[in-house]
Amino acid sequence: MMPTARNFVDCMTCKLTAFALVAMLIYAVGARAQDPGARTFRFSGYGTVGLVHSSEDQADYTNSPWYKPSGAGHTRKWSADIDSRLGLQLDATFTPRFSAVVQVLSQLRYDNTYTPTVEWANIKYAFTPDFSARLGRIVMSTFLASDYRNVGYAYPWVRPPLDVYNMMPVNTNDGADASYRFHFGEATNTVQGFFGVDNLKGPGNAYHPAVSNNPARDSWGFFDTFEQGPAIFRLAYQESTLSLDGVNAFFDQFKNFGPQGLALAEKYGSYKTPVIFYGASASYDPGKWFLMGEWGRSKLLPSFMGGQVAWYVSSGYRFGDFTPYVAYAKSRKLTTTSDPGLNLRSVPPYLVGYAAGLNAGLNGFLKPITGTTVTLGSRWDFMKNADLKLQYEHIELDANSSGLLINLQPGFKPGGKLNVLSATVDFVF
Amino acid sequence: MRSIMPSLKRLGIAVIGLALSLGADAAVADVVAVVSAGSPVTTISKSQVADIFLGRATQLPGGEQAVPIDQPEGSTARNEFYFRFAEKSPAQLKAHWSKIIFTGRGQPPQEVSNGIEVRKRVAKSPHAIGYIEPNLVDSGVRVLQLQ
Repeated sequence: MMPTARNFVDCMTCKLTAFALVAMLIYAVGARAQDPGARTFRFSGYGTVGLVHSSEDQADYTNSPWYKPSGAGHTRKWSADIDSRLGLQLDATFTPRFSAVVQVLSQLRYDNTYTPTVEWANIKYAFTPDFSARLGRIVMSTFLASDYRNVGYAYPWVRPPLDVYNMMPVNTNDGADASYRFHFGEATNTVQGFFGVDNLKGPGNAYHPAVSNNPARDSWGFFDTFEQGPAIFRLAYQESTLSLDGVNAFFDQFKNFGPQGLALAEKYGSYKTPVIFYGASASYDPGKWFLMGEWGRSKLLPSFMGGQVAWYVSSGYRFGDFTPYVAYAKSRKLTTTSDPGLNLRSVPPYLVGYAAGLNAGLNGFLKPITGTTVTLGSRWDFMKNADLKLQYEHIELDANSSGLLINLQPGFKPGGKLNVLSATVDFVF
Repeated sequence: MRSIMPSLKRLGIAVIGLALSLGADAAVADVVAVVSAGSPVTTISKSQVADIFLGRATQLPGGEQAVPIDQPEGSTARNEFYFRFAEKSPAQLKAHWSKIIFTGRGQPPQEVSNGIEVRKRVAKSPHAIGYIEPNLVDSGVRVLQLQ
């Protein structure tokens, strides 16, 4: 079999992971032999147990429409599949400068199982305490909480605002990054740059029933984080070249319709789509309360996804162990939301029905996934290492929008409103 | 108006009383930041101490590498220290380190069993910085003056 690009990506990841694991194992054995008391290995973990109810029973609410095949609403009235997860991590320090980390995460994934996947696996070398480089799998820090978005204990909400955090499908990088921190006065500024590849596995769909591999190539970008006491400001820029093979199974069909079909496939399919994202974040947390906001702009052109802008603001106040919070999030599609598609008059009569079906499918893909979300909730730090959160979301979808909902049923009406209730317990150890 | 004045006065006295008792509690559970008696560092700011213990800074004032030594989780000294120097509750501190640990960016300071152990570790190393109850201060360590 010819080695495909996809195999190459998978293989690079597995090699990096295997390398990190073997290196850690060898070191573990060595360390035990020499010095049983050495604090060179750390095992830690995090997890969430959650239940979610959605008032929309003709579609599924999920936290990850790119990755998960089902959620709350249609598939289940109350779903535990949205937030429930368990992450386990092993940290190894070989020398004060050389370390490695492997993190394995079990959550509902593209194939409807909880099979663990490798979330992080990299080796790190610190040239100085403020300058380090990593090689392996790294979760991108596109937004403030992107790289710890699965660690519920680390943030106030049940989950980071979805309208913003789901803007970018590419959020993992198999490659390298470097980070440099400089200090001026009591402020620090950290610049992080990365490059590499990713393979987004996606659930099957009507056109591509099997799990899909969606390669992201030529990923690169940088994040700049300025911190002074309780204040954080962040700028992000990143690019990738993305091919959504699962979705292209649909767009490939347009290619049977001559030049006009080919043009539509190239305009709205995702064949090596250049992906550009830039964003800005600010957070102020002096202890008793917090105020934060993030803004992002994505361009996935040419493709049906197009351009989008999204932002949120959120605030909370800490009353002892209780932290009630509010958030307001908004997203908007900036590119076309409909297209006449194939000209049915130029299509042979026996194919008119098929072409009309493709046109309907195309307009389904072009629908916006945007809307406005108001979130109210509270975090309760009820015991050491664990919190309980209750959250209510009111979502108003934009005109003709299906939001981030998946498994749309024939009875689903786009552009509506829905309410979502969530209860989670987060823990770390 | 006249009728509510006495109750306002009583409320005022109660508030002052509460404030005094809170102040007294804080004084009992006081902690001071310490370095080795041989260290050239004499003064530091509260936020510099916080940055070192929260993993944001790696150096003492003057440029020496900083090695923070923590007291055990749940100890009064530790809770008091993070509340006063970083304005963080134990849960906020845990959330802070969760962000750093689970993104592979670092590990929290090394923990020892009590204030006396902190004093021993700090006295031995010019890089170490710790916090202890004032009554544990001896000639091996220097209390840092807060700017």
